[in-house]
Order: sequence, then C-alpha cells, then structure tokens
Amino acid sequence: MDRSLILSLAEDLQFSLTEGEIQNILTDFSWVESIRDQFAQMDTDDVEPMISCSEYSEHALRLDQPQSCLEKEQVLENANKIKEDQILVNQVVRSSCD
Amino acid sequence: MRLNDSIDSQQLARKWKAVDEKIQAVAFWCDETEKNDSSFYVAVKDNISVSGLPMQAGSHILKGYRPVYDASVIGRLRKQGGHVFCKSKMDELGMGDTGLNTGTTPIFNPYDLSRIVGGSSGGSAALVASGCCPLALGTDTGDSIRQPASYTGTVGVKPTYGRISRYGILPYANSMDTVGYFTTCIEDAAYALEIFEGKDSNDMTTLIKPGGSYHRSLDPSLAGKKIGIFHSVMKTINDPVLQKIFDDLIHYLERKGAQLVDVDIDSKWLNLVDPVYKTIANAEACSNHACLDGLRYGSQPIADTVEQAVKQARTTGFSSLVKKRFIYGAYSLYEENQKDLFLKAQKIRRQIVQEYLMMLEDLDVLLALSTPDIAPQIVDLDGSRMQIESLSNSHLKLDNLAGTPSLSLPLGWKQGCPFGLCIRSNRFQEQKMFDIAKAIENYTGLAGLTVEV
Repeated sequence: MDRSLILSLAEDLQFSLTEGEIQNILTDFSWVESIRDQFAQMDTDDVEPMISCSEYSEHALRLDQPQSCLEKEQVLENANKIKEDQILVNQVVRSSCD
Repeated sequence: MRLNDSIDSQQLARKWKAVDEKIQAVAFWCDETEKNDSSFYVAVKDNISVSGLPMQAGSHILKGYRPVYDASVIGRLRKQGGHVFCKSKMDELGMGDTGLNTGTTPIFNPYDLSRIVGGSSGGSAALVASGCCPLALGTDTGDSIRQPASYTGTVGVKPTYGRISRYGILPYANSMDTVGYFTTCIEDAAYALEIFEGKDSNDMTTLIKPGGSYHRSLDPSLAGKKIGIFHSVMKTINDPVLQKIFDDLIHYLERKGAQLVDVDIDSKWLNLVDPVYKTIANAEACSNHACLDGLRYGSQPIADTVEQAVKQARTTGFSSLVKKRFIYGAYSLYEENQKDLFLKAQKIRRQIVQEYLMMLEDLDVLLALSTPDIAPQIVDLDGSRMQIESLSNSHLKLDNLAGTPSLSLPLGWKQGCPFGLCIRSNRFQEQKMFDIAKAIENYTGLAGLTVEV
C-alpha cells in the first residue's frame, strides 16, 4: 500500500486523513499483508463462503404488511427544528446568497 | 446486586452518581421519573435504541441522535418490569476492546481505577460490577461482553446468534453481532435469557427455536457431564496464579464425577481465527457505517456541496482508530483484493467453524480462561496499533464466527483483580452452559459479586 492508495480509499470512504493518520496506516499495513500471506496458504477450493452463522437454521420471512409505528407528532417532537409542520433539516450546502 | 433484591430507589440514585464520578461508565442518564422501588434497573449499552434517549455509540458522528423507537430487547425488558436508568459508555461504534476510545473520557475498572475495563461493552460491565444494577445490556461481535466480564468479575453472556433480536441495534459487523448481557450470578443470567430471547418479525435472523425455562431448569449436577478443556488456549496461559486456580477447578470437577477431556483444533485453523475475524469485521463495518453522513445529526457542517459536507462530517466524526479500520475494510473489499482477502476470509471462516462445531459436538461444555490475565494497566496499552492477537486473547472470537453461545464467569483473583472462566457449548445449548456454570459458581462462591468503588 502506498500513500496514493490510502488517499484514494479515504476519498471513497468520504473522509480526510491527517499526515499522522496516513503514516500510522502505512506503518500497520504489514498487518494486512501478513493476513494475505496466511490466507494464500489455505486451500479453499470448493468451499462456499460463509456469510452468516445463522445459515444452517430455519428462517421465516415476515409478511410484507406495512405497519404504522409512529405518529407524526412523535416524529416532530424529536426533531431539532420544525417548519410548517415538517422537519427542517439543517442547511449543509452553502447557498449562492450566503 | 441481584434481580430480586429489594431496593431503595433514592439511595440507589445517589449511588449511581457517586460511582460514576469515579468509573465514568455512563453516557446518558435516563429521566428520573421512571424510578420505582418494585422494579429492577438496567443499564443499556449506547448502541441499543431506547426511545427518546440519545444514542451516540461513543462516536461524534452520531452526536444529537435520538431514536424514536425502542429496540426489541427494550420492549421485552419493559414488559418484565425492567427500567432503563442510563445508556452506558462503549468503545466507538463497538470497535475496541479497552473502554478507552469512547469519544469522551475512558471508562475505569471499578476494581482498580488504573486498569482498563475492557470493551466494547465496558460501561455496562463496570456498572454491574460496582453494584449499580443487577443487569446490563451489551453487544458482542468479537468478545465485547465476555472480555470485559472477565476483567470486572461479572457474568457476561453471549447467546447463540439468532436467539435475541438485533432490531434497533446499531450494527458493527452484522454477520457476528450478538446482543447479550451482564449479571452478577448465573441464576439471573439464566432468567435474563428468558426475558430477551425469541423470534422477532423485525429481525429475520432471529430463529424459530423453542425458548427455555433456563432459570427453573438449572441443574448443577456434574456427575457424568463431559467437559472439554481447550488445550491450545490453556497451554498459552503462563501465569502461575491463573494456571493454579484453573487446575484446582479441574480437580474439583473430576472429584464431582465429571468427565474431563483435553480437546483441540489443528493450530493451522486457530492461527487464522483473529485474521479471519478482523478481515470480515472491518469489511462489514465500513459497509454498515457508510450511511453515517453527519447531515441530520452529528456536526452538520455547512459546505459548498453535499459531498463536501459529508466529507467534513465524517472527517471530524470518526476517530483515527475507526478511520483506520474502515481503510483496511475498504481495501479488502476492493475488487482486485476481494478474492484474496474478504472472500477468502469467508471461506476460511466456514472451515474453522466446521472444525469448531465438530469439537463441541461431543461435549456438554468447553472450558478455557476467558482472558490470559487480569485487566491491563491503562498506561501499558497502545491502542493505535493493529496486530494479530495471540490465541489466548482471540479464542473468544470463535463463538462469533460460529454463532455458538459462550459466557464468562468470575473464577479467581490476582492482585485484587478478578479474571474469568469461559464456558461455551454448541448452538442452542445454553441450558448446558448455564448448568455447568452454576456448578462452578457454587464452587467459587462468587455469586452476586460486586465491589465498592
């Protein structure tokens, strides 16, 4: 892993890294490489990936019946700001007038 | 403190504040109007939704978030007379095993304030250990209940994956996340599973299995029970104090008629438990937390574009440690790396689990020390590094990979601090686990253990 790959991953993950954080990730990257080496030694031909530990058990999907769970008043009570009976989300994009 | 202890709510409330000043385990207090002498009080890890109470999960990215609904476990708790008195502190988003990376102050071990409490459910463990409540909810993705239970002399239970609903729980690594809890004795632990377990139509991973009357069915007889000793784990325990206390227990179990057998898994699999766990956990975490954009709560920065605002919020909202785990998780999910890392880890997981279940198949329970020592001193830790952990530190993760039940029970002392014994059984065999745990608790005499802080 090099610096440009770290910056690319951070961009995908939508955050920035300080120089100290980049150095720390670079320092510890040998950890990931050692895992890759360990994994490479294992024969996993014809082995299905295990995506959940509940896969052996019986599941029952619920019927898709919409249920009302919250009253409008409850939702508004929890909102930081309300305007005209609706939640007012904080402005996060600077407008051209700002 | 036990579930059926009579309490003086006013006196208890004073104790909560006094204790928390020292151990720093509470993230948010609940409205005091809920107090009632006839109920029992419960601390809830701050990644479990409680309607109207803040939920920050130790992360600045969730600052200001208040769920508008209860997690399913909270609904079940309320039906049985349980009252939430606080949200307990935790390592950020469940990622950590020290109780130090909480977004605010560290959580301190009630037995020795210079030591860690463990994590990520460290706040819940510390509150039960210090006699603030008889029951506290936590979650366990790697060892996040059982490791702090060992460090705090509490009973920490991680049931079978699918026993308890995860609806309303902030996910970390969804294929392994398990809701569990802390108590001070096995009787309460058995009863608590009756409270929380059951099929939930809001969580399709909950399983249709008949529930147990674990508390009434507790049977501490040992004669004829087949108990495995996890050889590879125990041979790495070098501390003579811990080793002797474990050996004394084994002799006691034999004298009582249990059949003790050394059992093991090939080291080629055991050496991969930690790498497989971390590869899967980091990948699932970076995917699960992609939705945390910091726009509706969190720092809510103002920027020129939505993308810039999200980037600013996530940059300041996550700690360096969490960002590093996300980077490694995203790296293993890159198309060119998936085959060698994430997908390979999932395949090796299946191989490890098959070996582990075969080992458990023939046993009533499997024993090993939960942790190789008592809680480390805070000054001795460097939480910024990532490394492969030794088997004695990573063996608890086997139960998260396999979904098997496992608990930590206080076993003994070193330098005035407790350490725990891990008891595990096959899937849905919690009754066997509780039965043997009760027998061992009778031997140690540590039921109801708490410490004055």
